[in-house]
Amino acid sequence: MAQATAGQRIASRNPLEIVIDRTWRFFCSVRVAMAEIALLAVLVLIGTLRGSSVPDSIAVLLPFTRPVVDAWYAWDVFHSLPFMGLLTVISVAIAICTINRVPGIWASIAHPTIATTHGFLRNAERSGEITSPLSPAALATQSRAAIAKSGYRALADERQREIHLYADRFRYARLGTFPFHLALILILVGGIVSARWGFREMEFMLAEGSQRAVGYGTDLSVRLNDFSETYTEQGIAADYHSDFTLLRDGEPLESAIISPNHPFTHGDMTFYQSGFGQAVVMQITDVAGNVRFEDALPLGQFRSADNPEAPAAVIDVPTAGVSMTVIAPDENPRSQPELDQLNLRSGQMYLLLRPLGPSSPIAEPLAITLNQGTPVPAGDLSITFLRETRFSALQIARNPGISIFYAASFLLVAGLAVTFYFPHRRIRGIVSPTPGGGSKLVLAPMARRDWSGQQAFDRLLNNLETSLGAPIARIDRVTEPPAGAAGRQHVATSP
Amino acid sequence: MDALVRFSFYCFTAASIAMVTSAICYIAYAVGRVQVRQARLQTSAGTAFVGHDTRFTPQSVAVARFGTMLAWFALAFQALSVLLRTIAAGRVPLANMYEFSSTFLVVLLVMYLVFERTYGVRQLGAIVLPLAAGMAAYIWLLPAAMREIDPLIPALQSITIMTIHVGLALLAYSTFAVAFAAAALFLVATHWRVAWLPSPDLLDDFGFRAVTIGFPALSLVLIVGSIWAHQAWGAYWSWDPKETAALFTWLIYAVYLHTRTLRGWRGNRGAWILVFGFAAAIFTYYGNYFFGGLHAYGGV
Amino acid sequence: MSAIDPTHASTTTPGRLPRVAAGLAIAVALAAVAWIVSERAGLGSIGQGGINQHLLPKVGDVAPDFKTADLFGNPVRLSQVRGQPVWLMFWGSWCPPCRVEFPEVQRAYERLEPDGPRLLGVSVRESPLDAASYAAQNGATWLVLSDPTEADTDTAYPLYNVPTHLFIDADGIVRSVDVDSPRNLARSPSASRRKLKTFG
Repeated sequence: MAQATAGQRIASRNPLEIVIDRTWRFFCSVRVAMAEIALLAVLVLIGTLRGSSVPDSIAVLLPFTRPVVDAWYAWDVFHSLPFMGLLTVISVAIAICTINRVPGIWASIAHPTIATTHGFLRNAERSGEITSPLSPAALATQSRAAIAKSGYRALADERQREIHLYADRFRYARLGTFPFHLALILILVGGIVSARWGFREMEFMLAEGSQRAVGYGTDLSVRLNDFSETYTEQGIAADYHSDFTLLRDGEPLESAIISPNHPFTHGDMTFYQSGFGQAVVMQITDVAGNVRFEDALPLGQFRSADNPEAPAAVIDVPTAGVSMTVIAPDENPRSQPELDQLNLRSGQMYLLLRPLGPSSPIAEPLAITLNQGTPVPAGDLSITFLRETRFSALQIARNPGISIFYAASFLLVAGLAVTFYFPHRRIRGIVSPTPGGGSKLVLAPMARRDWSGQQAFDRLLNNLETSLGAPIARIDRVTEPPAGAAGRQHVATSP
Repeated sequence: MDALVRFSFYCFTAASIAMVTSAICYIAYAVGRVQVRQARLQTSAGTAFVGHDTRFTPQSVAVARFGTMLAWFALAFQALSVLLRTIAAGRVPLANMYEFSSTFLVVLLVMYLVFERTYGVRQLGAIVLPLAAGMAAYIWLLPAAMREIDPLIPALQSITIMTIHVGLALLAYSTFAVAFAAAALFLVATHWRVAWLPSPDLLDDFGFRAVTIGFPALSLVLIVGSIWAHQAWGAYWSWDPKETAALFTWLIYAVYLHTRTLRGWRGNRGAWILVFGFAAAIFTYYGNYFFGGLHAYGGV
Repeated sequence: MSAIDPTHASTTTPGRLPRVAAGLAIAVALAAVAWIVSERAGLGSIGQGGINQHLLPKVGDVAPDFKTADLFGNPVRLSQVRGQPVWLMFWGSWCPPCRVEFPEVQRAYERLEPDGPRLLGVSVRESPLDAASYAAQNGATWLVLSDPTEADTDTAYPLYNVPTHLFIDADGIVRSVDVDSPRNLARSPSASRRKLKTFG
């Protein structure tokens, strides 16, 4: 009858309600959640192996998989739509799953079911039995007090001349799952916030003495005052750092020295030392002797098309109406000398000059070999390779999600610690009258196939024994391996 | 200082010998005594075996006790080795694969011996100690240049956070190794029902307890790593292969914990997840061999 | 416990003292075997490398003498300038960091000159001609030496990194070893004064 009415109620609901109900239940399902996490794990594995030579080895072993492997390398899993979609689905599932568990968990904390059955106590793998000449009510009161001494909350409920007992400890630890799952969602939120409102400039190259605007909608610029590096005797870079000044609209704001692992933070922006390299200082003057351009160009961002061992720099100089490509001498002339067709000596740079804009001072592209310190005419311009210098590669990032991430980290660790190290232990029992006017208490833990839970129960029984001053009969039904025969039972009474 | 480095390596040699002999003792104990009875048949052409019958009987616990003692010696020597190297280098040795693996052995042995004492079962040594001996063999095969102390490259010059990050990773890896041992023994115990192996429930719980240490540790590895990455590289997550490999491992153990606590997947299925999770952990450990990326230093 | 490991209880345990003694004996035996194995396996040289490997003379040591040639092939000894502070530099025009610091080295040298240190710049791993032309192009006023194959200086001054600078006082004692650039000498007066003090 009850089933029939429930069925009618569902049938009478409108389709939207049914869809919502189905979606909710879909997201609540632990089975579905596990499938989602497993799928995520597979995608993460695919993405991880993409950074290795493993797929390549597969293709070498099984040549017909080559197209799949090529596609594998080409697919940037972690920034792909399916991956993002899956993360979103999982976040929603975590939220719904967790919300769905609130009533149950809260009920078990605030209003646990006290009543139990003799069947539960009989079938428990471990139980303890106390016989007492006291009345059931007196024994219940006494044992509740003794259980409470061990840090348990002990509740009792009288039904049909028997008193049912329920005791638990660390009940609030069950809430630990909420901060943990909230933290997972917050970490994703932090990532989204950083991606949406932050930025990360990976290669902000700046030569010594140069100044460059930060960009990204800020009015800040950076000037590199000095860069220095030290090496160990073994030739390993021991330390390198940049001394730079931050400017707003040309006015110095703050100066700092940064090195790897020691960034500098200004407001919500952080400056990191990431690398360094070789740069070349070029000067362009016009016929009147006015300096149209003088700056250091970082070498190495580009390479000569003919010789990958020759670092190069490319820059458009609108103030002079030219575009410059500077190629430095081969870094390693002894390897593959046939590639080095420019044959530059130390102290020389190869310059390719192209016209830029309609009023360029040069009519057609020019190729010139520059000697350090010697000006070379090019149309109305004079170009000088002044000297070589260093550049420092900085990273500049604004990461507004980081505080969310820190908060989430704390919640995650706290949630995990509470869940695992303060497990909710529960014990049930029944006090029943015995024929002689006395009473009997049988206790058993809710710890099926849970060795640690049973150990905790044993410790509780030991405490009870001391505080009640009465022997406890212990029953230990050791289960055989699954699919085995009936459990072997041996009863041991402690001395 | 050079003498310290040398003595440190000698201690590792002693620890290696102790681990190998300890592994042999534990295996002997777990397998039990094998008795092979052969029935002989006399023919005119000579003697021919017609059949044999294998029987396992429990080995004396003294063998396991000996294994435990050797494992403690291995720990003592290995800890001394790491301590001497710490003094010589002025930092905890975690900078290359040799140092990392040496320190890992200390954590693994501590973790195993603590679990052995808590649970009072010695049979897991038959899996953990061979793993430790294998790790020692791997250390012997590493390039000899790694045995020398090299100065830290600037990217790693954040000793406190490096020690926490890498130390927690070692803790996580070793607990996963212990969980794997419990799971493997569980699978053996339920499959063959060898009488003197610990009860499957205990093994199941053993594995779970190990994961309850390892999973938070791995979570902390990811968090501390992210904080370090934020300090050093400007982004707390870069989808670097080693990061994602650790994330992969983390997800597997997350599945294990959820299926076990919410769906009651104990026993066989849980054990298989633990075996798989340990494979992922090994993959993460040796990840530096497979990928470049930001964690490429100190590896190979 | 008894349910877990029934064999535990049944074993008779020997007394505590003999067990400790046996354990100690085994530990000592382990250490002895390990020692013999390690020595036999030729592991006695571990520890000499890495940070314990000393290549260049240390601060406070007497700078070892060497004999090499100037750009014209005339022999030059380090000991010839004993009695005067010496700034000994190893460089090469093929090395970009050397080229980067070249102007600063020249400027720093010009600042130091009145106090009398000699700058000996040993060009390595290149021909004397390359060294000469680069030094001339960039106006080097100090003594350029050339040791193309490092045959003359490698024993006393093994180089893993170029440029390398050593500051040696008038008594021939090494006062500073800089495996980096001395550009601060040129840039900051206080740094050059500090460095000057090392010249004794």
